[in-house]
Amino acid sequence: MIESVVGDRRGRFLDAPTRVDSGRDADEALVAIYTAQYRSLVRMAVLLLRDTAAAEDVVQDAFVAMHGSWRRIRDTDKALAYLRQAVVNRARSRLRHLKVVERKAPAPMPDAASAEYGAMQAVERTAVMTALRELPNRQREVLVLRYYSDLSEAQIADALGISPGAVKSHASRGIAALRDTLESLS
Amino acid sequence: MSPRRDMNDGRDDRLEALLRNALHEEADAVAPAGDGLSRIQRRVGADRARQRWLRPALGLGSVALLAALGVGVYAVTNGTTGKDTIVPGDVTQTPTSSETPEPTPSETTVPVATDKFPRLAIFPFTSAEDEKTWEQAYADGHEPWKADPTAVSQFWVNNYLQQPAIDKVISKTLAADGKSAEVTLGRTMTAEQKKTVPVTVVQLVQYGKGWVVVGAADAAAPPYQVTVATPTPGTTVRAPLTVSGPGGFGVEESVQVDVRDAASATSYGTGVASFGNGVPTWSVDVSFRQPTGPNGVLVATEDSAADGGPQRLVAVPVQFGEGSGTAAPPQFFYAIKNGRVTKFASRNGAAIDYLTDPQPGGGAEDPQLSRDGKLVYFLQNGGTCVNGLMSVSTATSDNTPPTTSVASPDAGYVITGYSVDSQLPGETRYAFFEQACDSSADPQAKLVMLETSGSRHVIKYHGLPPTIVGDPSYEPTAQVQLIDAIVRTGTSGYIARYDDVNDNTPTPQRHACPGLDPNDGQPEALEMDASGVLYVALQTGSSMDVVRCGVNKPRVVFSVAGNDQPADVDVANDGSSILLTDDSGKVWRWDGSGNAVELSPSVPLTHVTW
Repeated sequence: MIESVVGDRRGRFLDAPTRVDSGRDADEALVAIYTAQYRSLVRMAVLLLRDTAAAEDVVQDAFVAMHGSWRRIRDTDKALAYLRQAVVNRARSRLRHLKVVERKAPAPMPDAASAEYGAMQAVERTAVMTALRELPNRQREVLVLRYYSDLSEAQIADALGISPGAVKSHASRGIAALRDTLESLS
Repeated sequence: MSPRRDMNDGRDDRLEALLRNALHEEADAVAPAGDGLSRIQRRVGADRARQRWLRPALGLGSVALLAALGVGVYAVTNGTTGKDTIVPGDVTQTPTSSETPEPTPSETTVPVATDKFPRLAIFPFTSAEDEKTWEQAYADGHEPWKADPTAVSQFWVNNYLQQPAIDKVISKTLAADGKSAEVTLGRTMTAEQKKTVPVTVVQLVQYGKGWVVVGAADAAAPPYQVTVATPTPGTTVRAPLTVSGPGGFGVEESVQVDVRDAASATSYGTGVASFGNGVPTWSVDVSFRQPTGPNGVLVATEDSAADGGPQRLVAVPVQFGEGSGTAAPPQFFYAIKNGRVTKFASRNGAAIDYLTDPQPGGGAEDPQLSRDGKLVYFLQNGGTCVNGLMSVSTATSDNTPPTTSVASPDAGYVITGYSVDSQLPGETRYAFFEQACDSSADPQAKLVMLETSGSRHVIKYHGLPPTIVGDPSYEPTAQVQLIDAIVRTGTSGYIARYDDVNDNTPTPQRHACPGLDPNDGQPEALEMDASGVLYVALQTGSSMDVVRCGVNKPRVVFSVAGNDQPADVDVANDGSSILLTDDSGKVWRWDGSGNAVELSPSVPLTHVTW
């Protein structure tokens, strides 16, 4: 039985536990977790992939895999951790594949300036996102999980399959790299 | 302690805030497509089906290997283009129960082989004689593909169901006795990495040397499988046909139902049912024209949200009888041209003949054809605040036929809407909504209900609103006479059901269209067909919808896009075809299925009747 729906007003994860009775089958869990988490997982994947269609593919892959592993998972919190991990792994794998493809493709044109270009905040935001994309995968993943998904160190470590110390290290380096990039632009 | 503090000691606050905002703004602009759940469920279903097959196939693989090594002979079914499946019955003559595979990938039952010609035959034979005739030709090498279940399946789906995109053979399975088969067909998607996906499982039975299609199932596995619960296979169906099945899965699913001829690539009528988002069942009423032969097939399809190609296909054999289909739309309709009652061609809206002459003092308005089609009633204006109900014969003549005065409003009032009912032998009933010419009069309006027997009942409207919009419509019941009308109460409206003897309030509590929600649109016109089914034209803001009222929520019969305001809706007696007009005088004809066709009369027509 679903006791609560996880996800705040903006569709982010909350820490409130959502439990599915172990007797309920994977189908019901799939629908419940999809309802609560699909949007935020896709958005997280978009931040990693910069491609909505690819992000949806990756998240759907993760849900299919979760459904197949439900007998082992049987808990919404674990399922959510499983999904995060699966999405991050698949996104990384997808990026790796794209990089191979991109090497053989002509360089894309730079992004066109947005309508709000000129507003200082927009400039900063664009700079931040550009700098974020330049970070190594691990650092970018840590920062997205931390500053978009609001996960704790332990949760990030769980999602990425690394130690909390490594999370701290990647976060610190990522922030420092962002700061350096932004300062060099100002 | 927040994650931020435990990792970064509070430094770079501004950068972190900037990063957080940038991430959220970027991510929150992303709106995932609404079909994610259904896509996941389909894939889960496909996985299930694959696993269901894998288990027996793995078990049987070892048996087959032993057989190949010397125990005996096994047969591999031989398809021309697809991946074949090793069938257990051919491995050993006495298969144990543990070696018996589950029936089909989609848990549908493999048709039972029979020496009799299959009762549910769809294609390419519908009788034993057909098959025997072919066998004679086959001996000379004629149409050899009819002896191959895979080829029969492909030919049927591509050419008779007109689904050329379903061009991949995924698998073929023969039953143990080799007399029935299932062929899974699929297609290559133009999206999602161009995956090949199964769409349908064609079920066949062998008769003589030929293979006969007896149905098709959705290739997905339960519970994410579209199935048709009604009608059941072999049912003799009539229009309008209610087709239904279990829902309960997916999001914003849409199934198109097509009533087709079994012997040709002909569609007689279509309908669309929507479900998903927890809706437990889907259902749609399909009107279809009179079939030319006795054998038909009901085809339910759903297109992929990813690339628009076919995603599911279900086929159920049905039978047609005499009068199964609806009649063709009426050949003519009547409307007002140059202030005169005029006959028009339904095909294109061309004016054919005037029925009335020009009248001094004003033109004719609001024509209504009697149920028997012999008279056109209309309102004749006679000057300022003067009108009356007239009738004219529809019989063809060289000259305009004489008109007959039927009724006049009370002094000081004009008729703004009316209904005439003459279904009871020897008795005609009239309902008039009359509005006062003087704004200080009391009542401001009245609903006057008359019977030729002499009874008269009046409901008074002391102030407006509430008011009646358009024409009311009598219910065709024999005893208690009820009149349905759109009652506008300020900014909203509802469909009221008046009792023509006992009601005295302008706003009765009875709702004639249960479940009609103000959010569905503003009702502007209504009409009832001869069987008592009520149709209402709604202005939704983005379209004009004609809905059919029933016991539950009304169903949209057809829609015309655009923010136009309906002026009139007129339903053929059998409900199979509908005319809709808007207040600028455009006219649409709906023939029982598909989209409405806009007619092109030479003058704007706001009120029409047929």
